[in-house]
Amino acid sequence: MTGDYLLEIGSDEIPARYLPGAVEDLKHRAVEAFRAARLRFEEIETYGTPRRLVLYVRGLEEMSEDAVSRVRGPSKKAAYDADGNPTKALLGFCKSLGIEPSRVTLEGEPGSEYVYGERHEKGRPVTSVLPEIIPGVVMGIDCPHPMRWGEENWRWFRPIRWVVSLYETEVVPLKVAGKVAGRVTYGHRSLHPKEAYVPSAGEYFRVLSSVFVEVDGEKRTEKILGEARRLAAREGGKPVVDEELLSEVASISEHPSPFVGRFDAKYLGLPKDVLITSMRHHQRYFPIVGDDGALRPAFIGVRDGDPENGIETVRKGNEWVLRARLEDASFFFEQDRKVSLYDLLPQLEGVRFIKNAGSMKDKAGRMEEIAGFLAGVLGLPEAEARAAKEAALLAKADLLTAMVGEFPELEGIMGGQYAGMEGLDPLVAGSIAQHYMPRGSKDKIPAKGAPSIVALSDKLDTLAVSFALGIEVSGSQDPLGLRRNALGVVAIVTGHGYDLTMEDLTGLPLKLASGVVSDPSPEAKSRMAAFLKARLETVLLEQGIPVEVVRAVLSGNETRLARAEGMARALADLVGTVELADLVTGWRRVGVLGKSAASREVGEALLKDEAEARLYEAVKVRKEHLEKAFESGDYAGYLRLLVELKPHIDRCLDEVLIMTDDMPVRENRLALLGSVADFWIGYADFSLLKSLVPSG
Amino acid sequence: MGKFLYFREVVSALQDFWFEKGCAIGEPYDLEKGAGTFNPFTFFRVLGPEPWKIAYVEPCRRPTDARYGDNPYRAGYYFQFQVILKPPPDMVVEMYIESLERLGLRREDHDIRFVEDNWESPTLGAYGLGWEVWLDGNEITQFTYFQEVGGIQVNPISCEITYGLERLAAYIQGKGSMWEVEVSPGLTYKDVYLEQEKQFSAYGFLHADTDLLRRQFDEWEAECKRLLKEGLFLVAYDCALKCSHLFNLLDARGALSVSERQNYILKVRAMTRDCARVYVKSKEVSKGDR
Repeated sequence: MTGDYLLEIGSDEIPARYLPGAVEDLKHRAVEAFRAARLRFEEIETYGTPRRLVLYVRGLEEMSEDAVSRVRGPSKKAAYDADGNPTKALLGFCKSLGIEPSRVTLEGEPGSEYVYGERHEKGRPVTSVLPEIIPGVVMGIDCPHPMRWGEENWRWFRPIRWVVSLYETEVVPLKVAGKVAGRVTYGHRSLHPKEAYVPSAGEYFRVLSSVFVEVDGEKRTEKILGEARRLAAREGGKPVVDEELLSEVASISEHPSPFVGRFDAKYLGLPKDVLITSMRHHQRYFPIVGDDGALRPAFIGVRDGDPENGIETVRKGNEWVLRARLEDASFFFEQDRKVSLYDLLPQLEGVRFIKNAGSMKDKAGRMEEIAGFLAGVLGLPEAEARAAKEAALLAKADLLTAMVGEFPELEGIMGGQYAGMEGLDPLVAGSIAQHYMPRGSKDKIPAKGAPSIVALSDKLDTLAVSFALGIEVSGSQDPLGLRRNALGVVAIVTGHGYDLTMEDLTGLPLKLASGVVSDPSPEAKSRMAAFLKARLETVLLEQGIPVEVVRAVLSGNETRLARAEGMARALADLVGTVELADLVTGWRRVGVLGKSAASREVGEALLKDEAEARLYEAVKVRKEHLEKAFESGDYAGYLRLLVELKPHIDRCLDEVLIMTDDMPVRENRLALLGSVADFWIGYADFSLLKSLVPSG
Repeated sequence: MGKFLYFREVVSALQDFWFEKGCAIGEPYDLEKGAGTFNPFTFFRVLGPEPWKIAYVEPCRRPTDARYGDNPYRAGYYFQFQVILKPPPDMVVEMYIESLERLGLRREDHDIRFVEDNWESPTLGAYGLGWEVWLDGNEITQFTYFQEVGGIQVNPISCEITYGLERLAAYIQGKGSMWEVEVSPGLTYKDVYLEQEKQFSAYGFLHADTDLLRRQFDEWEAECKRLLKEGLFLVAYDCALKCSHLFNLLDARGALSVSERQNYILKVRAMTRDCARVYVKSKEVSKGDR
């Protein structure tokens, strides 16, 4: 016999951002727990609303499966006496399994045999198994930020208020967080703010829908999206939908009812980003955009409640809040338009950057210089380099605007906006607008050229000044966001493949920083480089490249960050192959002696033995190929060439006595090995790869 | 919209409602503070195991939020209606919604949302989990389950419900700004509080004597420590409250660097933490005497 099982955990409102994960995790944990308890089922489904998590098990067998397991008992010596009769130990063992002594078997090497018996476990009624596993499944759900409550200090998203647990029509008695399960659930907070009875598991969804609760998050999402599109079309446009907002809105309602709100068209004079931020970030509205790409003076809000009753009040209330926000924004915008970014520049003198490191005005000057330098290294055309410098100088001016004071998330964006309206070069405006990007690990990087140069100048300056000040980043202590800045540098440099060396990235910024920081830390340079490398390491590891490979490449002599990914991938591709073993052995053989080489000058006349001459020859014919392969980013080709050197290295070291007493010859041989080793060291520290090579 | 209520009536309706739910009705504490949480009715009483239910109006001062009366929703001086339920009853959220209905805000006519918002007060060494409550898109209440106060894990937890009275009244009265709220017939919020808002904005941003503030901070901090040694935690806590406000003024004045600011926060936090510790210890001792 099979039946359906329903579990509903009722709680105070679960935060929207955790709901989708909780629904997933509940399913995952339930499947595991049911399997471990030998409960057979056809299907497990999970659902969630802000106020409930639901587990629905279809076709659950009434009894758990029987099981047989083999259990080891006492040793043969302990199990039988001298006459071969069962001892107390054996009788006890058999009793515990409920079997006769004659049913055991002996297994093992002669002299160390043990008694084995079978334990037969009968299946048990599902109604007595579930109470044992359900509390653990529910309380075990991954809560990234749990709260603690109640007599026993329970921990979950928010307090658990009720539990419904039904196998077909029968209540499966259990307790979760002190709540005794029953068949009473609660309806929608405003449409049915009272109890509802669930007669059987199968009727759950019908009951919930009769008390105005849609348990299925996907259906809520579809409804919101469909309604939003329909309503927006009536306003002559489409809703601006981003997945994050949609998921949040669907996770914050049990009975979503989208509605249209409007605002005065006079606010359309505000920049689009300001309007969108006011609607989306603060109020969770979907803006409406027309076919021409321009915003319509309307929005889609989502009420958790009836689509009609009281909707006028709700609409008015929401329009009222938005009007207040837009009124604020217009006021700020008008104030800001009265001054230009260049007018604001001197006032940056009064805005502190970091304590003991001067003002934002000083920072702007440094950014301008860094941007100019980077534009030169990367060979930007004259006009673009000029734009980068101007944008770097002006990028921070919007900190003094009223709009950024109110909406800090618009910093940079507003500066770009105002720069465009003032008639500055669009490239300058765009570079200012993008200079905070990437704002997080998932954000886009600024466009190639001036925008990226300006973004780099900002981040490198912040890092350089912080390290010059000796600021430490540890654990959660990163008030200046140095990790985000460094990740941004790494993302931009690698994303655009900028061939900038560590010296390019740290040299000038630190030199400029030492002009504003008194008594700069002597370790600033090495710490800043290590910090950037550590971020790069994180990025590479997230891509699934083995940690040994990542560390090896980052410990090599190559300092152009943009190259690490390709180099690491080429090496990672060789993991498990004989080529990697050859590379590691090759490095070890030349590296150990090569290290003591005083020079890299190899005199051909001094190559006495054939084996060393061959090695010399083999390197000589490949030298140009190696360099070309490396510079063009053909790292697989580079490594192949190194592998080809392996037999020559082997032969040379097998046949030639390197440490001969003939000093000039010895020096020459060491120089040869040193020059060969350089090809390895330039790529990676191969000593870190030993653990990847069997019997290394 | 529901029935028109004067500001005064909003307050009394909430007092009546929570009184009926078994809360004591407290009065404001007579020192400057940034939030109702700073009132000893909350700060001390949420520590320890004894049940505690209280509701009270609390005037709050946040010099950095002062706007010379120009902002429709933000001011450096405003009122909170604070409810503490220790331990919170199971259906506390439902109870809160009923309190809105008492104000004429019937749930079926509106959209009430609980949007995650985790609250933290660095100077009180306190944090909790909860929501901001939206009424038709307007943020009207902060709803928090305390987890830690004075650096001490609270057990049982308390529920703190903080209504923003001006916003709530403005919405009920259909006003576009807190300054237009009718306090009583013929008298607006502006008539009563605008001049004060302007003067205190100017003081906090322009005229506060930062040397004096720093000096006073140091003196009250020393006094706080001295009094704690005497076991006078309530008096010492007053000193900590004074320091907290002095810090807020220095902050509004823009007199503090990032690290200095952090330092001041840590100092206030240490004071409130020590007050909490001495309080908890004194309770343990007095229990032992019984």
